[in-house]
Amino acid sequence: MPLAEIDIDALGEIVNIGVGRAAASLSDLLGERIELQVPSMRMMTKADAKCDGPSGMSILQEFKGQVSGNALLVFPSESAKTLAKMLAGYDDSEDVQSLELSGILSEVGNIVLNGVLGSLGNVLGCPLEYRVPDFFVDETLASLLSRDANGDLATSEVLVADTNFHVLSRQIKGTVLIAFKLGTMENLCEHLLRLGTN
Amino acid sequence: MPESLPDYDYLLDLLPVGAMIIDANLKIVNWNRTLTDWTDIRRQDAVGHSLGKLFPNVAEQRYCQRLQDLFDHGLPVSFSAALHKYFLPIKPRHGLEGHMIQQTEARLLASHRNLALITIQDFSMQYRQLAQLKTERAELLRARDELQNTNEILVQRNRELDEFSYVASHDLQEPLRKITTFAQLVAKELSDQMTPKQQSYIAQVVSGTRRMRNLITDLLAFAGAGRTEVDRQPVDLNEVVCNVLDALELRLQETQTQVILDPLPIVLGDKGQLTQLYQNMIANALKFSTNSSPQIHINVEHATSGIVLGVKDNGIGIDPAYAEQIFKPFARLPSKHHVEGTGIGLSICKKVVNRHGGEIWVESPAEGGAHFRFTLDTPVRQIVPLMSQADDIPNFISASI
Repeated sequence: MPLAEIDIDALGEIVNIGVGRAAASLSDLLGERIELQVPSMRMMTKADAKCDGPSGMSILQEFKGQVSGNALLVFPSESAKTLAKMLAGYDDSEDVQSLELSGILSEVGNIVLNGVLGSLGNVLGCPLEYRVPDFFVDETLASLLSRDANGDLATSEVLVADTNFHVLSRQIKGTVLIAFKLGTMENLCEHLLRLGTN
Repeated sequence: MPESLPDYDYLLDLLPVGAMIIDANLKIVNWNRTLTDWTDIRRQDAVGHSLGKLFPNVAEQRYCQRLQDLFDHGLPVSFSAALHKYFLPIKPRHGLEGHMIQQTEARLLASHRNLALITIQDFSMQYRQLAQLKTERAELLRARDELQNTNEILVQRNRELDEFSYVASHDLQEPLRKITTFAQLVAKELSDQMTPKQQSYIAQVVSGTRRMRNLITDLLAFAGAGRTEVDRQPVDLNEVVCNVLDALELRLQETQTQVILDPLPIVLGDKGQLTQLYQNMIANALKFSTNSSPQIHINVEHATSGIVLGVKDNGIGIDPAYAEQIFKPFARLPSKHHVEGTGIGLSICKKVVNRHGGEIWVESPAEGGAHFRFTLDTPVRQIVPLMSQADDIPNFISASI
């Protein structure tokens, strides 16, 4: 069931609130002011995702409940390294090693996706179950979006939110993607409708 | 322990990581053996106490806020080793300094949403190795930069030296020619007025300038071998050697030297420089030939590492003590035989071989003579049988097919 434009706007609000909370958590963690912005948002189908190549570096968090699916934070490889270096306090000449990279990005992904999914859970008004985030390098978007501990996840639509990280006067681009499991979009639409009427 | 919570002691103790269960007030509900090993705090001493009281850093906002979110929203939490270094300030094992580096994760228990399992992995060794790797890498990079700088300076100095020796030897030729010419003119015009002693002085001047001219010519050749780039083209070494033998034909016939020529390969190299290489080696073999039946064998051997080319003679041979010295410029070994030359021919050979990425050395076979052998770090196209060239081979050459 495709989302109406008004639903997408509502989802955008949810994502923005979540990203705002994530920015506050990241700032607390690092003792630096970090801003997160979502300049644009759109829906795409799983078929669109299949056209994409390797996704760079990704953090995946599965969620289950009235609405189920996979949430992803994706960075181009160079952006991921730059962000990790900045967060670790390295200067440009220092290299961030894969052990550090996976740890830092997993935690950043955990904070950002927790923000967004927590915001979504609040709107749904019922608790969701979440898995601990996993870190991936160069997996295709299609494979990540359909990844499921219990087999292939049949997804319908994917929410794509471009996300800008402003850290120490630099801007790092990433993307938050949420793939909704087939059959749970209806629940989401109902909740969004209720949200609209309230 | 909450009544409904199963006895997790056994399971938690099996885990190779630190593990504890806490409630929403951060009160410890379970504490595994690994944590006891790390902290010396026994399970019975930890359970029932607030985690924040035992470890005050956990009460910091960056930890407690996210742990609170875990209980409020069920959102799992990950504290990376890279950003936090540690969750619990624990002394590391294996005699390491500082704090144990930890990767920590916290999630709600599926069966008890008011309880959270915290697992802590010890990453100290990994991070120590990482730190060592970084130090070694930094040292390697610094050493590489230093080597690059030194190499650039050396290349530049070498180029300048080559230029200098080329220019110097080139410019010395003209005044030398004048000295020779005018000395000869003096000798000619005053021949009837000079005493035999004076004529002998003039002859010595001419002879000295001739030797000096030979020296300068060789110096120019030596400098030239380093100045020009190696122009790598497919070169048929059979053709190169035949041309050299052709040029030396008169000397070969005078000395009645028998030449044995193996089928040689086609290699990628600089034809001019390879010609000079064979010319110098064969001329060297002729120069030091004292045998009544002189023989020169131009050979090729197939070693596991590639082909080894060579020129073998049955001349006076070389004392192994001088095996390296002979490749240095102007090296002239003590010998009872008077031999013409400046002592630069073999150093040119070494330069040519080195510029082709190879090595050159000399061996003294048991049967006598000298065997100069060299490699070329260049692809070998094929070995060309000499049958096809039989018509071009002078009759003093024996071709081994």
